[in-house]
Amino acid sequence: MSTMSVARQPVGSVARRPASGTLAEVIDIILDKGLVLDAYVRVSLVGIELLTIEARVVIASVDTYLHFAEATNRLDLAGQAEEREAGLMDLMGGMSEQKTEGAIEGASDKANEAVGSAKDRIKSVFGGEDGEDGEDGS
Amino acid sequence: MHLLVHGVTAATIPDAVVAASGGDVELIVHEDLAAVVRPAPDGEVLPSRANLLAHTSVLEALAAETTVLPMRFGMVVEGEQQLVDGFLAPQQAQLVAALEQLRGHVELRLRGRYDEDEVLREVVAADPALGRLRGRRSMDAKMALGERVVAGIEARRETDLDRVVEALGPHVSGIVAGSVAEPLDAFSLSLLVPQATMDDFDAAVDELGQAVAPALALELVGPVPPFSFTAPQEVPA
Repeated sequence: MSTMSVARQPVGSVARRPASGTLAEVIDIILDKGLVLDAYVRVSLVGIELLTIEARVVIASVDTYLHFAEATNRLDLAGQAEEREAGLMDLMGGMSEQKTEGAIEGASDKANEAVGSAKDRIKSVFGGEDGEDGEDGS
Repeated sequence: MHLLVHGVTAATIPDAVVAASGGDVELIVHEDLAAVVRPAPDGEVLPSRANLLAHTSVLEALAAETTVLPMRFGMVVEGEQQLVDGFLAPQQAQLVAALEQLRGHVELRLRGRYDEDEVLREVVAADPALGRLRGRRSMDAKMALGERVVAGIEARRETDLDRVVEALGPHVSGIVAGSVAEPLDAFSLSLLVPQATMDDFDAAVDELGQAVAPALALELVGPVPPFSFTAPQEVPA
């Protein structure tokens, strides 16, 4: 990849920009938001509901776990003793490589669970947004 | 003729503002309310690039000049009569109240994003067990490490969200938390900010930006039409 000049803002300064711009930005701004007409008033449209379907990346996934494992392993930490200890563990870890196949199966089960729980969380976030949980203190 | 409804505003809105907001945009007035609409031939309004951008740009133009309640994209009614009888008339009181609440406010979006190396260092430092999981090559060990790191970032998210709400709460009239899309996203917040005290809010955001650096970088987007603050005041039927 050729050298790119990346505009870096000073650390700690807050980037400010107007909203208009990319389609992705616009979708992010209006997705699932705004006043909704009662179903009996509005004409139902094919295609619109697509907008609200999984436009989001699931955070907890095998790929994410592996990415962060690699990134954490690459980290240059001050604790050298930990490094040595980790090296020893690595030798032992190597012995269990033949179990990898089973691990992958286990991992994909785990991923399915993760997808489920991420969906629940997304639902709960949006449930919270509706502000319908009536806390009338009468 | 079907109508796509962009939003609701006060009937006192000047014609020039409506005309400048977009081509073939018109008003359906009911007493002190006006719905901003556009003809939707055959009721066909696909979530195309052009239609999405048109919806936002009309509302942005209106919001720059007056108070407007944005509709969710794709709200189509059969015609003027249905819009008035099924929406503007029965919900008049709530709509007027919602407009009143939004008057003098703008919506801004505040996003936080973690610097990968900085946040990982903090997560590892906060969880001694992570040090022992590092550097191991088996799939089991990597999954365990990755899962634990993700949990550490999740915990960090909650702490940071509390911190933001504490710092900015006094300067806003409303906060709505959206979901985050990527593992290094810290939060995505919609904030309803009074225009009269915008300078105080700005100063508080800058101070917060300094306080959370370098692990967390803030981005302020907007103003945007108040899409996140339209929830009508429900009146028990």
